Amino acid sequence: MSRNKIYPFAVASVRSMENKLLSKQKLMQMAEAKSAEEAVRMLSDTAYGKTQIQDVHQFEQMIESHLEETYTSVAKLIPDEALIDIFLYKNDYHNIKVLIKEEISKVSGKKLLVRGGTIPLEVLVKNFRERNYAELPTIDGDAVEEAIALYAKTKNGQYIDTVLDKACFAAMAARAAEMKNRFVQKYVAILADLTNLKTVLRVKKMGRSFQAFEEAYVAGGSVRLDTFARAFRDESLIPVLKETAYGNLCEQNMEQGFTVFEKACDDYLMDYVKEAKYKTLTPEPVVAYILAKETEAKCVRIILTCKMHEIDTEIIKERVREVYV
Amino acid sequence: MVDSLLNGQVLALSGAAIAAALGGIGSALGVGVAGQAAAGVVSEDPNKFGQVLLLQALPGTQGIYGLLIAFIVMVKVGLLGGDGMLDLTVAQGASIFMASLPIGIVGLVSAIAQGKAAAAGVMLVGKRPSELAKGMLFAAMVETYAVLALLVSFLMLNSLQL
Repeated sequence: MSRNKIYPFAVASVRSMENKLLSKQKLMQMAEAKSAEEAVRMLSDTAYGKTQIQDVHQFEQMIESHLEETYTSVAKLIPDEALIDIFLYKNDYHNIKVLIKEEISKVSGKKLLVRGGTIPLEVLVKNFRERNYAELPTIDGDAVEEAIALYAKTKNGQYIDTVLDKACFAAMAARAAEMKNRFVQKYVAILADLTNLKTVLRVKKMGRSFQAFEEAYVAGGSVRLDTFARAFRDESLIPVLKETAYGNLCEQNMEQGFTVFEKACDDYLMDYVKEAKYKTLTPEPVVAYILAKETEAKCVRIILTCKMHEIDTEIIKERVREVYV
Repeated sequence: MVDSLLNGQVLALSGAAIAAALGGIGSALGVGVAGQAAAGVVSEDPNKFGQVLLLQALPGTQGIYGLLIAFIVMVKVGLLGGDGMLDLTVAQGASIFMASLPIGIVGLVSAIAQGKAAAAGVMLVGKRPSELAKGMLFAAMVETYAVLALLVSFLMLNSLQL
């Protein structure tokens, strides 16, 4: 028998839950809805409908509480492995960014805080204000201090993001290494690579220096910093990046604008995760399910936001991501 | 001490014990894995109980085969319904022991493998309830090898002359 721990109960539950994921067809129907109201009504008929909202503009509440519910129900399935932590870290770090910026700008960021991190919001807010990082196990206190100090020096809010994004990826990679699950480790590595690829493209397009990229580069991926440095020297990024594992992705999508590339990156990750469809006892399908839910939430957000702003149906359809089922 | 233990009767009974024990262990593990998966599906959709129960039961057969061979051995050596246990030579006892090995070993391994296949079948039913028959068929394929081992054990015991 293999030595990996097996989770028949969790995987079987997740397989049943997959039936309730929104299909691409359903998402397309939402995209074709005549108005934002109609699209929201379609959404209320699905699992998202548990939260009732009065006004279409509150759709974010529906999505957020549904995601939170997903996180908790999946976390209960595999209690001993904290598998979903790597998905929750980004929420923790997002919240801490909001809190830092709130403190600096003195503008309340309450609306921007999200639930569903590893640390309950109230605990996070209280301990951040007291600078008591010992109570915040997933937050790298040094990084927070560094971000605040850098801002004080440069008065540039972007540094808060870059420093904390780096810390977030470092925390994710460390957690993934602890779990000894190759699928999860590779997932985190791909995520880091994709983030870097998006950053490098953005920096190049904005015509900024390589240093700007270097500051935002997150560790943990398979494409190293010097590869990016070589790519950056040429007119086009593609010749060098073509040689990496993301060759096809870069070649086919990089020149078609940032929106296209961003969607291609999401689809690439989804393609990787789809491997889990053929696993029956190990925890991969559980990880895949969380990503599937997050992607679904992203699609719903894109559709509804576009609908609110009366963007053309065809454009919305182009932006809808690849789904898991 | 060792000499007094290494006689025909002890060997024959070890055979019976191995057949029943290994087959039983395998089935317990197999049914266990399938059962966990079944519980996972039922936790989401209680209506599927009947369907997944069928699948869960599949890896249970190896234990029954082991029991069957153990019974045949016991009848053969006169432990059941005879006038007490026969006197067996070491060679006879060893033959009975060997005859019990196929169902013991194959029963253990095939039941675990079948348990995994059954668990996958349970998940198939969780996703597509109409495909129960196919899920059962996939798991039942593993049964072939347990049946072959049972056949070998049975034929060996049957043709042994005491």
